[in-house]
Amino acid sequence: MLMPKKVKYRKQQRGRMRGKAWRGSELSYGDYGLKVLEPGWITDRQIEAARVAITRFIKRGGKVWIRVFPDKPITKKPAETRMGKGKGAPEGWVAVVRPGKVLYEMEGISKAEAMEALTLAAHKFGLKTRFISRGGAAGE
Amino acid sequence: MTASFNVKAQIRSQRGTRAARRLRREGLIPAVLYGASKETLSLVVNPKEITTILNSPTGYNSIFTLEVEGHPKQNVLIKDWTFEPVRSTLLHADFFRIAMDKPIDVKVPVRTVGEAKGVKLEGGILEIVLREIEISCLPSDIPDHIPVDVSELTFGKNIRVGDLQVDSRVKIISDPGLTVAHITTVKEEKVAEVVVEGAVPEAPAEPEVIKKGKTVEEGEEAEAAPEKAEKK
Repeated sequence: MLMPKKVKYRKQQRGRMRGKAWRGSELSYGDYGLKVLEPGWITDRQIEAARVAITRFIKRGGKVWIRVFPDKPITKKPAETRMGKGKGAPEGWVAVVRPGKVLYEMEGISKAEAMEALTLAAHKFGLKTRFISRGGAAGE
Repeated sequence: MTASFNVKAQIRSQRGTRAARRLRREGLIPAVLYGASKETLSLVVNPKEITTILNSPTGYNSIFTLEVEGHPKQNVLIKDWTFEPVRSTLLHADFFRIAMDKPIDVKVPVRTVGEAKGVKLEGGILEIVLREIEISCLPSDIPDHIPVDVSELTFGKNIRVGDLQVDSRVKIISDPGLTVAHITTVKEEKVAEVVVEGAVPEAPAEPEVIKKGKTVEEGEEAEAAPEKAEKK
């Protein structure tokens, strides 16, 4: 699973997800990509599951870039615990995504294959996504 | 590349976010015109016209005529633009005045030609590292794209900016040592081992926490603790 090597603080507050992803919203490496259309958290497990889905589908056919990194720690209190007594223990990591963020990019395969692979990956997230490709004014 | 586009623009008197939003609601967008050591003008344009130019074969290097109310017609190109990240609608555009007799620096996209041997025979993946090359030339000599012949590209070889063949009227500014394209490979994903039923999944290790300031040694801590207790 993806996670930071070093952190300044073990726990973080939840925060807000306002606005759009003005950075990281265009294709930078590959010809095809998966863009998220809603704000939300994407867990390290979801990122890994989607990556596995893509690489298994394309086998050795193409190259994949992951454009998100889960750098936000998420805590959880144990089951059947009363409220209070401090914040729970770190349980996992998430990436905060805003609408427009490109999650994955691909190259070296046909458009139909890329669409199929990224659709499989999209099913791993609980957020709306869109397939994008290079070409046209938007660079998508 | 000179294109036959003609864009009409009005002078924009109001500035700022709220005024720009009002314009966009009306189906127009704010734009700015500068360059050629002349005054900078704030404009209002129709985004459809600009999107048509950006989507044309000559793309963002299209030189077109801009008609601004109360100003003579001028040759411009689109220097910069902003798209909305979700809907991909045009939000703003920068126009740059062009003198047709002076060379300008522009970025031109590269386009691969042929099928690489490394892909066809060796099963590799063609990776395009550099998608735009910076060149200097007269506005009328700007090419649509720079062709890159990848048909002889095999594993271990790469095409650099210095290897590109361009017209004699065009001068490449980008570093000649930069890689444009190469053949790469991807390691095949190993199938994960079967998890034994009842086995407890390993808890993920926590990352190292960067400590701040002076580190307190164990002995010092023990000494400090009784003092605190006394104070209470």
